[in-house]
Amino acid sequence: MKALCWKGKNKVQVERVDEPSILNPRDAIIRITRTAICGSDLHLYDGYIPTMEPGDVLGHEFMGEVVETGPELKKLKRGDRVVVPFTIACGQCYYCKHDLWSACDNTNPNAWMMEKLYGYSGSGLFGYSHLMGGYAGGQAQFARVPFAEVGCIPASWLRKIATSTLETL
Amino acid sequence: MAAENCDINAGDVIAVWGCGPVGQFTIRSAFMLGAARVIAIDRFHERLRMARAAGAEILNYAEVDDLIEELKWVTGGRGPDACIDAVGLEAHGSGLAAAYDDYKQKLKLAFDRPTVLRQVIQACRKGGVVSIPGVYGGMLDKIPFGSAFGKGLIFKMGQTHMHRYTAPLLKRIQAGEIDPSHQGGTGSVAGGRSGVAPTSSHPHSSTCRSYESYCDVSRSRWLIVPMCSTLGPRAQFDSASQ
Repeated sequence: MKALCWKGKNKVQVERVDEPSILNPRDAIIRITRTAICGSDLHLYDGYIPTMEPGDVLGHEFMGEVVETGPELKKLKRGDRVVVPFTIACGQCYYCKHDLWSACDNTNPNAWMMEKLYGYSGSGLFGYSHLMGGYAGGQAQFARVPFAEVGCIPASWLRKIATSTLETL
Repeated sequence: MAAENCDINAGDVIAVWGCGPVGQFTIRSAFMLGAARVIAIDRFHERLRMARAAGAEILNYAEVDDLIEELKWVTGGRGPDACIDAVGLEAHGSGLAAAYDDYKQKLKLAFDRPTVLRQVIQACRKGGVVSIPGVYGGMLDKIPFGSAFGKGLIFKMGQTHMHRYTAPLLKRIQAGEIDPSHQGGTGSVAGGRSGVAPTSSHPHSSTCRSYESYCDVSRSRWLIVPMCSTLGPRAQFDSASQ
């Protein structure tokens, strides 16, 4: 697939990279239909965020269509159109249970790096340096979304949202 | 979350630094949560115009001598009840402090330029709230912590807890209370049109150029840059990006 890759300070390039695949049972693969360049992407572009490596796929604001689901996903279906939150949360740890999703304890595989700098690590983020988990971002054709049922709200559920609250979903 | 962190009471005056997409939605959220007045601070006329359309009073920091004095003046000498830093680590500013931050960052002595953070601390009323949705990364220098302590400020900040807000915000969009589209539409908050982002849309093929342009200060009235891969099937993407 094609993806926008960070190549160094003030340099980005559309390159061919491997397509993502399901790695964990609660992953989904999203075919991206729309994505955005956020002001925070400029911090990466300008070279202010450490632990970026040439070839890293950028993008943390994206939406698209589910094309593949891991075996433990129960509600998300192929063809669902979803908006993906930029913070990745497991939905089961102490912080997720306390409604502090961006502090999720289980989604940054490089937490040890953050712990050295910050004491504790926050959640993993899409396309935002290896310090934040090294996840490939959404300025690409496809992205792997871990814990896809935690936070991704399919358009088909919108009517339900209008008459209910998050808890009942 | 930036506005919610301010624990707004009816009648409060909220000052928002930065009128990009975060600032624009913060202004509208502050009104929604009961703020009587919102003062929006930026230097780009386009962004300030959007803030004014949402009902905010505007302040162009490049056109005032002393921003803190100005804020004191327009709040009856007390200062805003809450100050929101919707700018973060790449702040622009004027004066000696801004130049100092700029050089330090260029010399790789610091990740962040905390110009706005210093201002929000200085400007906030005693016992008020400093809310920081703007991103910071490293060790910050010359932060007036004595001022924060002396005035008993409350600090709230952090990456947004996206999962907490997605459903309730979608609900408000569906109810027509928020309109995130550029066109404005029918949504109205505090009497103002609430249309906000995006402001510039591009095909994938011009993505690299989009980064350059977005970065270019002369064009940074752009709020957010969506890339539409009208594509659908892969083949279309390929042809679009060649």
